[in-house]
Amino acid sequence: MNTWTYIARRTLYVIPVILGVCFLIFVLFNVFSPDPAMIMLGKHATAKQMAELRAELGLDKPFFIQYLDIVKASFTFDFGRSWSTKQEIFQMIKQGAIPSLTVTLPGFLLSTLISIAISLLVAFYRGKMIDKAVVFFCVAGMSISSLAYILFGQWFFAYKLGWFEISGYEEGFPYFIPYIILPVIIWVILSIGPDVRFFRTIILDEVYQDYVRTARSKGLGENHIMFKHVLKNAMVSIITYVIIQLPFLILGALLLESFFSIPGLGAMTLNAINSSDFPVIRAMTVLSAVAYIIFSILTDVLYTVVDPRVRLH
Amino acid sequence: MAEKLLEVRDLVVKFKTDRGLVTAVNNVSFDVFRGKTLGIVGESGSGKSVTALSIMRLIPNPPGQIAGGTISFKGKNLLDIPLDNMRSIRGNKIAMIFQEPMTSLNPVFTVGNQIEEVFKLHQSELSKADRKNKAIEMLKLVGIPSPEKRINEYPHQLSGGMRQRVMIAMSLACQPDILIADEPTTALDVTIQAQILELMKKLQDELGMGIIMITHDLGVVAETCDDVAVMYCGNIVETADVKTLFGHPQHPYTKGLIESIPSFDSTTGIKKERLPTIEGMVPSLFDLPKGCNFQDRCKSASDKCRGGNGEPILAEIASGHQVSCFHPMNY
Repeated sequence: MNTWTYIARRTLYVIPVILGVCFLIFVLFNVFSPDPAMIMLGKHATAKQMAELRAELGLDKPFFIQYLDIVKASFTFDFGRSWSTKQEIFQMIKQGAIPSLTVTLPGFLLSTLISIAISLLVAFYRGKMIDKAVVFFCVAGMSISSLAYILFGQWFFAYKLGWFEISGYEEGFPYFIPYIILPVIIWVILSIGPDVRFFRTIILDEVYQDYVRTARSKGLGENHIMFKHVLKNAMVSIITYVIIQLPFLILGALLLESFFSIPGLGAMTLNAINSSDFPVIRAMTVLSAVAYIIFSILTDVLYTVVDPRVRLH
Repeated sequence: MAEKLLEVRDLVVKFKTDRGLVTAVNNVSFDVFRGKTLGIVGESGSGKSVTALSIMRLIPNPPGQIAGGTISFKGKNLLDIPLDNMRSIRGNKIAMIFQEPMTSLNPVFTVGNQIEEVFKLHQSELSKADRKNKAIEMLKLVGIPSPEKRINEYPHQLSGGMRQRVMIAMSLACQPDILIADEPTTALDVTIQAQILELMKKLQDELGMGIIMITHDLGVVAETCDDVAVMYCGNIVETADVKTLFGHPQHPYTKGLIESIPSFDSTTGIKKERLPTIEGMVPSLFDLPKGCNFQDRCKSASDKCRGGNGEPILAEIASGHQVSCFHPMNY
């Protein structure tokens, strides 16, 4: 089957998935959660004020109509306005996406490349001192809370040494650069531990395969064997792992953004959760579901590029 | 006398394990001549594959280690040269094919790519187009139909026999002096097995390389080899030319192996009798008996074999015929 037909067919799967996601969002926010009108107006509001607000937010409509509204919003990407800032949500997402990507994209690219390089290195020296040391530091690093890295980084490198901005953000290239350096470094440090451990296992699985022995018997050097023969075989698993992370790049880094006051989607989502801004939470949930499906289709297509044994159908 | 290509003397290979150091290959010596095939026969664990990998210096280290001996290729000791020089010999002057054609090729590169890689490495003066043409030529040589098309296919699109042909094409790409074949037909159907052996024989006649045929199948030895070394527990227990070995086996182990080849009555085509077997098991390398390693399975073992006389030593009993046994069978 043609790759494009496959992509088209898989894209159609988005429809039932979004219907399901909408249903879950609806049940969680509109049926089980406390009355948003009460949260927004506080406990001293009169019944009349509450009724007016409910009518304004469309909460007085029958459940089924409310569900359809969510579905409609999901397919048109018109999520209405935020309850707290009254801004159009679509505009908010557009504005937040760029600052988010300026942090997550460099962080993701750097951490992935560095992790693959380290993994190849330690797989080459498997069982030796350097391998054991790297694995030790990965586990130790993973055992420390991400908050510790953020707070220590801000206190020591930004406040004490003054190397970086403590927090804040400026729009536009290259003005944002001083603000993203520390968050990106912390992102890389946070990712390297789990990434290296995963990639190392994948690569070690390949190093003992028969084709590696064949490659050696042809007279190939170890570098060539690692980077050409082993890496391409390991790529299948690495791609899955890496691409599954991509939706989160778009959604922003929740903690990093709010600690460093970066006006990205992560901080926006966290604020929305804190202020029970349901339309924003809803929009971000639908967006992440769609992003997830799109990137998993992309993963499948990339498999066929890396592994000739994979056929799409 | 044909040119002597390889001279292995007193090769000792040890492996470090959790239960201590084991000697997988113990004082093994043999020669390989141009245009001739040496068979190395033995059960699993007898050290034949380790011997082969030692020649290529492909013993994984750690845990393995070549602890002694010399491997002289055209007068140069391969164990002394730097690894870079060894790499320019591997796949170029000495090539190897393996038992598992299903997994020995890299699944994510085309057959052509994997053959061309050998030319790229050892004949870097060739252009890209030349490499491709030579790869097609090699596939044609090993009898793969429509090689121009096959060259763009991946290993999973080929059958086991075809893959082994590709392995042979790859190993012979640079016309090596020596081809080491480590159980090349064990994983294949009997009919394909015969085809592959015939192909190797034919290519040996054309290219004149010396072959080391490692196998546990005496049928393969009878069909392809000129000389044979029988290995048991890391030692060569008997070595002779094929005719002598099959006609006058001296070591009880060799005799047992030969007797356990199925034979058929030539007139009726029916199996003659119940197949004799060698009783017992190969002793563990961790726990070798004092004296002769074969004593527990040997019908003619005496106190001499079990006692403190040490191991029997490989000794010449006729010209070109060596055996390590206290009680050889005699002519």
